[in-house]
Amino acid sequence: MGPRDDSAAVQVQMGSALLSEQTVQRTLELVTELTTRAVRSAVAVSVTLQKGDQPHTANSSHDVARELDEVQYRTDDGPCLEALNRHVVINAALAPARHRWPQFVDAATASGMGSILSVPLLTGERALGGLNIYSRAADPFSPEEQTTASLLAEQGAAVLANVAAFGDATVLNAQLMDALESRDEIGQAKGILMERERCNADAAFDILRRASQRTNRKLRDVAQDLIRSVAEREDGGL
Amino acid sequence: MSEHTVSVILESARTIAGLSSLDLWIGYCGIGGHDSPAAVDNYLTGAALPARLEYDLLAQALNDRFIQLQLDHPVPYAEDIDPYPAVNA
Repeated sequence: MGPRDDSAAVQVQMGSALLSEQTVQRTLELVTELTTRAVRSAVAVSVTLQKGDQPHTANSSHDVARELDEVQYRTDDGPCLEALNRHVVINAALAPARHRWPQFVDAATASGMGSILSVPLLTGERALGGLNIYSRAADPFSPEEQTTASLLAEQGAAVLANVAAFGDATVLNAQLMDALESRDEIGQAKGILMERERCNADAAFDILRRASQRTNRKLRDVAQDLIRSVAEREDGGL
Repeated sequence: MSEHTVSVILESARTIAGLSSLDLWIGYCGIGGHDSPAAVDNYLTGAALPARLEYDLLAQALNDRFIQLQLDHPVPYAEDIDPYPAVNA
């Protein structure tokens, strides 16, 4: 499977994730799982997310990836943080890079790792986090693997951004549904008053509004009381 | 009482109540308001003047929020604004 095929498969799976899975955690698991499968040299994969200014590993395929990420957070130095902060892809063999990230390279080498590929998860100008791929190979990842990883990171970032937007939309949807219910109840109460007082809709609203002001209760509560009192009277009459 | 005063009443109450313009519109719509979110934005900035009934609905939506904040109807209704400015057609 080439990078294009990988991308198509990822888009299909990510698309279904957007429709059926609404949690950030599931998205992160999917990104990790797909990366482990699609990037052949990968032996451990993790996703770093930013919590405020503080990076943390939100998901990992193996403990070693999480441990090596944490070495970088502790020392505030390493390819993952460089990718995240500079918005660039880092694809490096570790042995020649010891002068760049000494503590991280020592820890990674001790864990049997030979190279790392870190890709930022970008949405617009903002980095949501980074995708980190560790390999035992002593050489950097191939250009094809780097392309595949970049496509996965791109899709993952898009889904993460959509999950956040979906959360906002869900809240708005609930508020609008509640507003519709309230509007209906107030409409019913106005109808009751229009019949009882033989007045128009504006005057019925004024009656409700004054009752709200007099009793210091929300208009909807006043309307619900009125509807309830009429229903109880009708039930009593049956 | 000028158009400007009406917008100042609404906008300052909205700010104190801690509502976004969209939150206010949802509350207003929920008690029977007829105008669009964009129209409510215009009322808040003073670019347009709400009809008397729509003003009362906005004032009520704000007062409903203030009831949650343990405050008793601080936003005046149109009848308390003397005279409520005429709306140009």
